Amino acid sequence: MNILPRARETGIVTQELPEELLIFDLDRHKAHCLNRAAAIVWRHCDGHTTTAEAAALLHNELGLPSDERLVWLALDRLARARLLQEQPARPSPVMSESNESRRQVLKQLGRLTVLLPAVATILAPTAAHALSCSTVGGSCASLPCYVGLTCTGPPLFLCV
Amino acid sequence: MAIIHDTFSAVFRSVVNPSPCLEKLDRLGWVTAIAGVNHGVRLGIRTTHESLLGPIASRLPPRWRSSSPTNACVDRLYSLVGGGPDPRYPHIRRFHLAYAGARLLCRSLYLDEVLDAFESDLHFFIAQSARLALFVHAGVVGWHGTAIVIPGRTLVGKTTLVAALVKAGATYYSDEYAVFQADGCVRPYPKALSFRNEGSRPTRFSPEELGATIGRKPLRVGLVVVTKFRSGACWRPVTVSPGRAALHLLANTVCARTRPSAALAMFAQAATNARTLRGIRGEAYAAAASILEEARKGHRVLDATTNDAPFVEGR
Repeated sequence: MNILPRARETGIVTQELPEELLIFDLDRHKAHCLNRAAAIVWRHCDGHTTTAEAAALLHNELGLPSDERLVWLALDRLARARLLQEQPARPSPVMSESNESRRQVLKQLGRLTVLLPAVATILAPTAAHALSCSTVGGSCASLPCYVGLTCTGPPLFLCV
Repeated sequence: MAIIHDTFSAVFRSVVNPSPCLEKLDRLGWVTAIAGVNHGVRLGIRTTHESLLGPIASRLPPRWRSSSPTNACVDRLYSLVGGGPDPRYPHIRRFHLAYAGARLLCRSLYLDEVLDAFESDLHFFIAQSARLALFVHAGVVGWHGTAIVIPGRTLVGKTTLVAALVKAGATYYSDEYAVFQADGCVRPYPKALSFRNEGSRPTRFSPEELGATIGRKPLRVGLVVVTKFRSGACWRPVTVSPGRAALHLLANTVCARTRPSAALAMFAQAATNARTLRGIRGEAYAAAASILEEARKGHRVLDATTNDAPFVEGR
């Protein structure tokens, strides 16, 4: 029996949306958007729920096939986003299937791919990076220079 | 925090971090000073030449509320030293200088360069320090009672698209900042439009010069447009989900790292009630017509690219 690992509880901020879940990782300054399938699996990552139970939940709530590979796909993505406390311990047969596989799962599920577990991630910008950068001749005292330009430094602080 | 003493000498003392550099600056001959509040951020500006007040006033942020500079308590004090020809030595030209606190922002023989540096730092400081609002690097226009928000980094074509939308009849809100309130609505920040090209200095136009109507009221977000310009491209956007829209907004938020909870809450609210389109655009006027048409529509289209990585412009 495969048990889902525990989800991270500290160092994150969550925000519910009707169909998605936003999670901000305070340690890594990354924001993640979990679609409904990924969010369902993540919410049940409590160290008690089994993968079979999670697959049944996906089947009941989203109409996805009751297939454990979908749960492992979600766990892979959640683990890659570092939203789990520990790496999921995958039994070896499922592991090999999964390795061959994300693409195969997608192929088999055909038009249901939109519903597959997905985690989109961005790195939150620093204050300066979220702003305009200076172009040629512009000041780089407080803003960074556009890519390819360099800041002359003090005393002129011009992008050249 | 700092205090400006006395209108004419406008001597600045740093209350928190007194430094020898500031004391040196304080000893310069300050002639006049102004103070004001913007988005809850208290600012002071002092200068060595009264003639600089006009150009400085033209660079102040929108909704600037003046206050008395006498003994004003400010979060940041800017010091602008006038340069130009020296009356005693006509063959010598002095540098114009701008300081933020004790930090030299710019030193140049051209006043416009110094004012550009002052203005960009001023906006940046307000965007960073505003407590009741969140600043997102985005163009914003109003259209039929809702806001169209165009988040994106420098040189993706925000200002050009905003200008095209305004010429097509939209109300001007901002070409650089979407100011989000706690309720997810966007407030106007109608600064002068700054057209940038990769190889030249930005060209500024006041909204009035473009014949723009300036928005006054906060608007709820009706459409988020994630796009960048590519010559010859055709505007064929896809609709993205509210969660992805929130990520796009967060990727351009000034305080994304310092106020993530507030940002997620505001963007979740804004994006849930809005449609979000993503795609590469060609000429702004063609895209503008389509965007305004899309903004009228209320229906949602299922995103065909749900499993794609979010589209975040690099610099």
